[in-house]
Formats: sequence, C-alpha cells, structure tokens
Amino acid sequence: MTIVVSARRINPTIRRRGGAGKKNVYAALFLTSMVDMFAIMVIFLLNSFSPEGEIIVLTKGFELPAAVNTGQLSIAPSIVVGLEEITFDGEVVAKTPEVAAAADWNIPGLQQILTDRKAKMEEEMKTEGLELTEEQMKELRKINVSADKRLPFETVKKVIYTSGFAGYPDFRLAVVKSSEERILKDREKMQQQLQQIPSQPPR
Amino acid sequence: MGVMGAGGKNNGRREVDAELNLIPFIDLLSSLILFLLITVVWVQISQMAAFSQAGGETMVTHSDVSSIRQEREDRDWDVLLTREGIEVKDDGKVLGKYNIVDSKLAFTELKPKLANPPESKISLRAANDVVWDDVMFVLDALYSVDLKNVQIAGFD
Repeated sequence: MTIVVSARRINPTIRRRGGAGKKNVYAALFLTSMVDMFAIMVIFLLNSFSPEGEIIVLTKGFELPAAVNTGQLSIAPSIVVGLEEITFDGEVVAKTPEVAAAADWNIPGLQQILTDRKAKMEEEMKTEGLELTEEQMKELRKINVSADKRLPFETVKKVIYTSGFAGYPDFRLAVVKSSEERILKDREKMQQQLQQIPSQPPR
Repeated sequence: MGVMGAGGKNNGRREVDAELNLIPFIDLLSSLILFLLITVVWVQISQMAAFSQAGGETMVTHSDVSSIRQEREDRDWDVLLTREGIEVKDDGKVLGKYNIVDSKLAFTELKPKLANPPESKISLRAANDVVWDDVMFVLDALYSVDLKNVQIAGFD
C-alpha cells in the first residue's frame, strides 16, 4: 500500500513573513478566545478552591474508605493510619505492622504524643486564664482519624482506643465522598483483591 | 490595570463603555490561575463522626471521657459486625442477621422498632479481622437512616 503524504496544512493564524523561505515562529492569538478560556479556568479553580487547604496529607497509595453520608472535615489533630506507618500531624509515631502484631492495645508512641499535646493545650489555657465553654471542650476532644480501607479493624481499633485514653474520644473518620453505586462497585473490586492475598481468608 | 473611557460625550450623554487594557488584564488572569492551580485541593476529604467506646480503668480516671463510658451502658442497639455479616441486638435479643451489603436495608427495616431513632445510641462492634472499609460501610448505612449517635468498639 502506498503511503500518501497529505498536503501541508497551514494554520490560518500563522502568517508567513515574506518569501525568504524562513518559517515565521510568531502566531496571531485570538484574544477573545484566550480571555474566555482564562475566565473559565479561573471560575473552575475558584469553585474547587478550599480556604482551609489540605487538612489531611495522605501518602501515595493510601486508600480512604468511601461514604455517602458525610460532613465537612474540620481542623483538628490528625492521625493517619497507613499500611506501613502511623503518623500524627505528619510525624511517624509507630509502624503499622508492629502495632498489628502487638498484643497490647495501647500504642505508647501515639499515647505519649497525644497526652503531651492535651497537657500542653490545657496548660496554655490555664496560663491565659481562659474559661472554656462546654462547646469548646467538645472541640478539644475531636480528632481526625484517616485509616487505609484495607487495614484490619484490629489495627484501627488500637489507634482509636489509644486516642480515647489520651483524651480524644470524639472521632472524625476521614472518608471520600462517593455515590452508593460507586461504593458497591469498589467493594466488589476490593473483595476480589483481598481474595488474591493469601493471608486473607476468602470473603 | 487601567480602564479608560472610550470617548467623550455621546449625544450629550455620558459614555458608559470603557476600554480595558488587555495586557494587565491577561497578566492578572494568569497570576490568578497560577495561584489557584498551586493551592487547589483535588481530593476533597469528608468525614463521619463516631465516639470511642474504650473501657477499663484508664477511662474511669480520665475526667474528660468518663461521660462517654457512662453512656455506654444505656445503648439501644448493638450492631455486631463480622466477616460473615451483621447482627443487630437489642438488650441481648437478636433482631436480625444480614449480609454487610444489605446493611442499609436492614437498618431501614429495623428502625421503626426504636422508640426515638434520632436519639438512639448505637454501639457498632466489629471483629478484629473485619476490614476498615466494612466498618465504614456499616457506619455509612447507619448514617443513611439517620442513626448518627454511634460508638465504635471491638468485641468485648
């Protein structure tokens, strides 16, 4: 089959300068279209702009569970329970496999850091002579827990108990907002993946 | 950015049109786009709330959370979650056993049995080998039928 070379198409916006055989590198720009495009981009980005920024920073490969009935995540101390490590406000406090293997429910590294933080906050308030209302006290008990959806409950439970003991019993469990159909589809996919892992009994 | 009047007077009326200097306007738009692109948060993380149901001496000694422990005793339902499915209990009496996928249907069916559903205290107890995704799925199902006073715990 012969290969037919198509005729050279020249963008109508590119004007040739003279006939010296040199291609012109300048192109005329439709300003109206460009300003329209910029405006659309600005509107889209403004729409997805979050003034609170990223409340939780998740590592690569981290999979949050999905849910339909969710609320807005607020700023609070944040524990991230990944498959490899447990972090508190970005600082590694324990290794997840070690926590999973431990018989003790308490995670000493996490409890220490949480207790210290609580004590520090209370000390600061005492120093400033602030009298906290019941609502403000409730706010101080809040903690954001983001756990990878593939983790066994036993590991997350240890984190939850440790936080509860340290004075943070009000959990905000991080999820990704999704639809019911999508969640069911993802569940099927995840169960197939779990069946492929030898340590996980078939579901 | 300068905005200039397009001209003087038009038939004795003041001109309302203005000429926009395109170069600073495009500069402004580009800066805005750059700023928004840098600060954009692509994954919007939401939350679901739950309480801890920790027990033991540590809880009793801690004044802030002792009230949570007191509430534990007067819960309305126990939702037991295992790999096989969920079991809903009311004061030890089994109300029903369901597959995890049917949690929402189950709670919709059982909800009328609660005296005051919005105020009802639910204890969601999961077995150790249940994946976190399943726990959140059941919690989501409880939320979907407006049962939001949920405490999460393991099996005693």
